[in-house]
Amino acid sequence: MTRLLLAATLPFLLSSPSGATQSCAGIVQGVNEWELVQNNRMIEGFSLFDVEDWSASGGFQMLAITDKAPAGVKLQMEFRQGLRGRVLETIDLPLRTWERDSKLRIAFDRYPEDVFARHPRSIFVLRLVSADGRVFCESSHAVVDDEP
Amino acid sequence: MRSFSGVTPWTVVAALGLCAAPAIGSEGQVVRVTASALNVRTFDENRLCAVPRNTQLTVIGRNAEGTRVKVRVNHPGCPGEGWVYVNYVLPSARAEVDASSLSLRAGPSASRRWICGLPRGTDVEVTDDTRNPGWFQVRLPNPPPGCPSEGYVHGSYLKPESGFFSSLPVTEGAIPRMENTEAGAGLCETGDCSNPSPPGNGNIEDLRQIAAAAGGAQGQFLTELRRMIANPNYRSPHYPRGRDGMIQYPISGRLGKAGPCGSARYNPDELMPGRSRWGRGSDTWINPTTACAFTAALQEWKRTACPDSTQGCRVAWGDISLNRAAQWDGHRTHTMGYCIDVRPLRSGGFQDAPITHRSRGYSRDRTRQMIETFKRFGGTGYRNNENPYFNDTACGTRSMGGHDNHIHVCFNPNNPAVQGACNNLTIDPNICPELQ
Repeated sequence: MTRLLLAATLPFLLSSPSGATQSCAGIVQGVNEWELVQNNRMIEGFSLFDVEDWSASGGFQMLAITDKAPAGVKLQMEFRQGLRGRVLETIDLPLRTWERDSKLRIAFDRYPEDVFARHPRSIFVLRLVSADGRVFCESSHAVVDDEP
Repeated sequence: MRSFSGVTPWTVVAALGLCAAPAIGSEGQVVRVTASALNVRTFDENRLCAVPRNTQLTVIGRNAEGTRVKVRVNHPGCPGEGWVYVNYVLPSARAEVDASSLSLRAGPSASRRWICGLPRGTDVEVTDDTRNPGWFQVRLPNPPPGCPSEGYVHGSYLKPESGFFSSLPVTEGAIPRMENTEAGAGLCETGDCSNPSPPGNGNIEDLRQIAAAAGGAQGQFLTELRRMIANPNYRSPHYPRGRDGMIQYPISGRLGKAGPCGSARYNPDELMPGRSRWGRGSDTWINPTTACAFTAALQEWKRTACPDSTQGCRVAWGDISLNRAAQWDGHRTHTMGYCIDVRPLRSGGFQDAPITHRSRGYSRDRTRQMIETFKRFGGTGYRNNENPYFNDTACGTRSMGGHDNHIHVCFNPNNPAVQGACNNLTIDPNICPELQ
């Protein structure tokens, strides 16, 4: 059932609820930190990647705003029943400079699973809004179940 | 008590350090029980009695690993002395920060206002633990610049102040056995079996201590797995068993994202404090035979195909099973610790990032080879006669909804191929040093 619903919504995912023309790909990115035991030492690193649909295997720890975004933008995350459906929740995500890479401003200092858990099988919209209220970019993704 | 599943004993001891107890670190220290009912045992794990929450115990020694303390007990039905796991006693109100930067917040929740970051080693005094499980109100005797003298932190990022165990004598040794009067013996250590919190979590530091104690010739991990497989009721002191005899698969690192044999774990559970579901290693509960066969496959993959774990061939795994529930989020096949989610592999270097079989950078060749390795060690779909689930069927897999970004592979302990893989396993310390 979930699969069918997603298949039905996917064609619309490239659209934007607010009509913004610019996608946030490459501007708002997912961040995951990793760890590795190598030569009996623990080394750490992180990966930056384009946000995809949210699932247990497709999530991110944090969101990062790259230097392609203008200063002063605000990051919003909006959950909707569908791309054109009712808005379930809108969250203004505070941004801060990341100590691991000063070129990035990040949101979420905790794994955001609890936020997504509130809105299973929904659409989440990432939106950068400038100080004058103009939508700088917007991208929509699905919250999906990935297990049989 | 909330779950501190898998958190290192050191962390847990500190995390539970809540009330204004006398300074700890010396013989004769009084601690109180924080579990609803804590088993007191002989050194060799025979249960002597159980004591209720808030019972006071006097510490008179510790074991070499620092996972258990020898205590003097004054409680009806208990002998004068016994051993308890340090996870379930409250040693001190003083602790120090064990994270590169621990968020100090305005309230006892990750959603409360962030105030500042406390650097590693910052001293804290816990003044209240009653507002939200796992969250502590703390006072900072010497607040770092920009930080106030009070706030809230999550206890998973605290550890005992220096010298907690150092001045306790090592008194590892047998206490005379008493008649075992335990009723309804379970597999968990505390009386609260709905959410057992293991004293050992497979942390790499723990594993090294265990290996050293075992002489180093054969890792305790495999030895303990074999004991569990041979005897479903065997109680491992290092790998406590949970629901259906499962254990936690070894993880290490600040975030618990390094697995054995160069593998990666992609669920950063420790970043979700305050929810028992997301305690450390909370989704790594695995059947012992499955753990054995999966380890054999990981070791073989690293030996034959991926010696450099900084490359995209590094195996990254996620959900296995939860201990506290037979299902979660409708994951019907992740109920018994038989099945593991693994990300497809990519060309180029390793990235901890979602990837599908349609993504740029996806490597079908590497993914297919990895799946073939799993199959050689008994990896299947949910049923023994079906292929693992993954939607690039050119990899020898079965298509299944939602499986674009992960392979669902099961190592069913009843499958002779899985049993054979386990029987043939020896740990190569050069490939899986974490397990030695």
